[in-house]
Amino acid sequence: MSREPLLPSLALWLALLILPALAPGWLLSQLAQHLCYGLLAMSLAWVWGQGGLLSFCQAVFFGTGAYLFALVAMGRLPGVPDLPLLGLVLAPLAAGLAAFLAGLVLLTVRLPTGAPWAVMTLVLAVIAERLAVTSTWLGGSNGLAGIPPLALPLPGGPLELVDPVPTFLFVLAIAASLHLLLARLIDSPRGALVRAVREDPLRAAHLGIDPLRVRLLVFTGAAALAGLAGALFAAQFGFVAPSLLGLGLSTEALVWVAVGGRGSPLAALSGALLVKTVEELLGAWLGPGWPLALGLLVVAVVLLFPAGVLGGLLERLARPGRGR
Amino acid sequence: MLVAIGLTAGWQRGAAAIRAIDLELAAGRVLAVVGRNGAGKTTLVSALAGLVPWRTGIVRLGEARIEGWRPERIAAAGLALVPQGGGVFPGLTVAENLALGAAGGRRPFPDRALWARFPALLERRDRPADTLSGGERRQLAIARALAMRPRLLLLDEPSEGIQPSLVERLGELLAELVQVDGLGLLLVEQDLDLVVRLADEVLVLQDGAIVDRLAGAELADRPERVERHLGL
Repeated sequence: MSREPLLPSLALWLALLILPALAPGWLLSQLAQHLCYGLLAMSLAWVWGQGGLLSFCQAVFFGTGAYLFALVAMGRLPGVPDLPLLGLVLAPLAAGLAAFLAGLVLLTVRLPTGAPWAVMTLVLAVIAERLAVTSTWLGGSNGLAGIPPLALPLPGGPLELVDPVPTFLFVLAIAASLHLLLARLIDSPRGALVRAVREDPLRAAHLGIDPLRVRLLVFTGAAALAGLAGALFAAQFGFVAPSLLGLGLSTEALVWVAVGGRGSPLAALSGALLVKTVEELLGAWLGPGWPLALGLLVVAVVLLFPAGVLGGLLERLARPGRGR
Repeated sequence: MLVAIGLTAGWQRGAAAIRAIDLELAAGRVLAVVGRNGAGKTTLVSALAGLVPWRTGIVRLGEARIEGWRPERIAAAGLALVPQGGGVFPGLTVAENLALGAAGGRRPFPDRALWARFPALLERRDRPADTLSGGERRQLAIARALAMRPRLLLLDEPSEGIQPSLVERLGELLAELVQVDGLGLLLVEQDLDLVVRLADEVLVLQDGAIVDRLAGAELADRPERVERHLGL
């Protein structure tokens, strides 16, 4: 049996697929952006839930992807043609490279992966945001505005992703495909290897597995996924700012994943959609007091559902029989 | 062939847990290590597997000097460890645990010959390892080490905590590994009957040093020579 249960996954993707027939355009636009946050949450579920690396810097890679996309699409990257689609391809590569280099430093000094590791990732997020604020090339604290949208090269001519329905469907297709890929990876022997390193790196090492290499690959892969999510976000939003790669968004992502469940990418993605939706509703009902209400709600959820609202349920569904 | 000359190792500098160990283990042979609790037996196998910091001495595996190597490199070179208690990953299934051994050894998996040797594991291949009995877990640990296709196997108290009838079966399995597969075994064991049955040579460890060494047959004839060191 799969660790990422098939039926709940299918139910979510099918429900989202029929949404364009039912929901207004503004809601689809909002959901398309929330799906990007969902992808960020999935990347965190991979690095934290599967890899055991609590990361306070996941937004650094989301922001790296967003900025890289903006720079390419706006023709600000010397020697690179200003093709938004190229930006979408380069964004995960740039985010992955950034994580690989950061991970090489953090992991090869044999930093313990508990609190010291988490603190270092937090520092990384603060530094990244500061760098973006002080960089004139990246637009400083104002960020970069006027980013052209994605244009898909179709036989009848390029389709600019401006209208809510095609934009939503495009993001949905990418999110569902990446979820499928991640679910397959988690179920594969490589996924077991990642969990083994998380459970006991020394025990994994005496089986001939290099824990540092595994962790570096997990961290890099998660960053590439976050980078792609960032690029998709920038393509829709048309604007990037330093807050996209800072500690604030990184912490928000941790909240989404803690609420949804870090053991499953689907639960993490659902956590992001759930928290963002509740955020909107509370904002409409309570006005400026909504963050306090949301905070209390999150504390209650984390205390009542340690494995996440959906995570605990999915774990029970996915766990193979315990009877003998 | 595994050779250690003057091996000294331990976590604390200046207070080595094992001192000046000389040993030799060839393919198709069984070298047993016995001693009281705290004598340094687990430290010895852990040091050979690269899990305890090496201080001085030489450790050779085939032609390679492996002292100071990282555990994953030693394992990939053909020296597999079955740690005390088995060391299986409880959250992973039986098949996933075995695939880990194969992944570390960079060998194809699933391995039909391996499943044929452990039919009980094949029956439970999709069960999490924490649902297995103690004896099955021990089988899984040994099977996982074999999935690495090692040249030599380090076994730390494989019979500990399993029922006598299963110890009998364990003895048969280990004998088969030596006689049929030609593996060399370094066996840390408290069960002297199992040691007598399998060992070609026995090392007696006390306070981290070898205080006696004798042939397996000698142990059968004069068990009191070892028993006094074990406080029996």
